[in-house]
Amino acid sequence: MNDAQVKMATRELNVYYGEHRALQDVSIPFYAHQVTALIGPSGCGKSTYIRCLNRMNDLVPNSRIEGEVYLDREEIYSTSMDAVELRRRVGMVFQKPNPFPKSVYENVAYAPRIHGLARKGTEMDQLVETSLRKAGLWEEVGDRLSLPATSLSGGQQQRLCIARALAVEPEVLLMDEPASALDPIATQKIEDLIYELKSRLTIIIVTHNMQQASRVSDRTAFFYMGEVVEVDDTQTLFTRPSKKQTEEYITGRFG
Amino acid sequence: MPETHFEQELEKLEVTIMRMFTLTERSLNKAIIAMGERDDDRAQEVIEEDEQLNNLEVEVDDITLHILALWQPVAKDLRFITGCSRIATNLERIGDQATNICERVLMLNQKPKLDLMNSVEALAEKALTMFRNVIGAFSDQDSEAAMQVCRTDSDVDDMNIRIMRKLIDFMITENVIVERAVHCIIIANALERVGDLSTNIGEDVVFISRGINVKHCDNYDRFSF
Ligand SMILES: Nc1ncnc2c1ncn2[C@@H]1O[C@H](COP(=O)(O)OP(=O)(O)OP(=O)(O)O)[C@@H](O)[C@H]1O
Ligand SMILES: [Mg+2]
Repeated sequence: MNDAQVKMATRELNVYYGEHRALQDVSIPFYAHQVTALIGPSGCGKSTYIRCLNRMNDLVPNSRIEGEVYLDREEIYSTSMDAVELRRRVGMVFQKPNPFPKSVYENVAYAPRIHGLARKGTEMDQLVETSLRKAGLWEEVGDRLSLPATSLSGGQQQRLCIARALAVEPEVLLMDEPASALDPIATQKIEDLIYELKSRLTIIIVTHNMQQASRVSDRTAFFYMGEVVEVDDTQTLFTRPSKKQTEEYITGRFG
Repeated sequence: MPETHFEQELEKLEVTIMRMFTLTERSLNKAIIAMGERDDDRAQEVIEEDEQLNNLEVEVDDITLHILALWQPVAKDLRFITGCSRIATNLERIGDQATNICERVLMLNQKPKLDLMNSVEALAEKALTMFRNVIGAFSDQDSEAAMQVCRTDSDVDDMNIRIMRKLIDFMITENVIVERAVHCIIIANALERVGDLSTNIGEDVVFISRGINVKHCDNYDRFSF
């Protein structure tokens, strides 16, 4: 498994909010076409970390980052890397579904239009359909593309956000607790989708749900107080973790 | 820190398994004494008591299923629960072997004692020691002690084979003993099974405490802790 290609990686990543160090020397490789789950107690730095992977943390005032983040061996904080292009290649889905207050169609078409990925109307129609299909939503909304996105159910909205992210054909998809606001059926659909999508891209997902982490991911990283305690194959980490802190956390005996 | 509901359930499982260990040890020990002392009453007791072990095995099944369904345990908890479930199966089977031994003891007791019983008693001693050692390994969660039990299994196998050869030789020359010799062979085989089952439990103990699967490995010396 580990001779898989490294798609992304961080090296000695440190993040500060003012004086407070939120991440300390975090080094993790992410392998192509694998799902890596980030777990750990609230406030341990998972969201901070995942936001560094497409430079979303640049937008946070007072934050400072040290260390390196690589996408295909290229350092993403180097001046040669264009942040807009980076965010096209490394897409993100958030905890709460956040569709634009526009139609279903426009939600998906918006980013490709900005990036000039599709020009003619039929080309765009095709791209919208393909993206909605990849997100497993076409069957449900294919005949209602002009409806406002906000009229969809929460689970549908979240898959719409995934379709929106997929429309620009990212290579990596970051998901920060993508199912925490959803019911079990919608959650199941997202998990199935993650499983499907990994043949196309590399996925990094933050989750508070241990069962979800163990179901969807190939590798798991356990964070605690801004540090990575353990990274391993998910199966190993959940059956015989090598660190006591990991064992305590995943068995619910923490603190 | 007060015990969580989950920890209470785990403790219930542990207590039930320990009761199974205790009862199984008592049955096996009693069966071996019944054999040595040619004691029909004691043998009869062992046969009657087997029911308790059967019931406890079902109880362990219920508890483990309940815990798995409600808590989706992971890591050492998961290994402990699945390990206990397998251990319960093995204990129930050791109980069955104690019963098998006693059934043959009752038949053997109807005729004079064969000299060859001495070597069967030596085998019984060895098998009982293996079983007692694996109880200790389980309650201390001591994987090295568990591996040591697994390593002695081949001695029990060898003793059984030697007994069988001797008995077969005797049967050929002295046909009046054939019936008793068959009972002896069955007892020796039952004892050899106790060794195998104790080895299985030893492997489960290693799995629970280390997360390593040592089943069906040809050389237990590869593992030391
Ligand atoms: N914008 C910010 N400004 C200042 N401090 C922040 C900011 N965002 C996060 N932090 C701090 O950084 C630390 C890590 O927060 P982060 O949101 O990354 O944790 P998390 O692991 O995602 O937690 P949760 O599981 O609750 O989402 C916390 O101490 C938090 O208070
Ligand atoms: Mg977070």
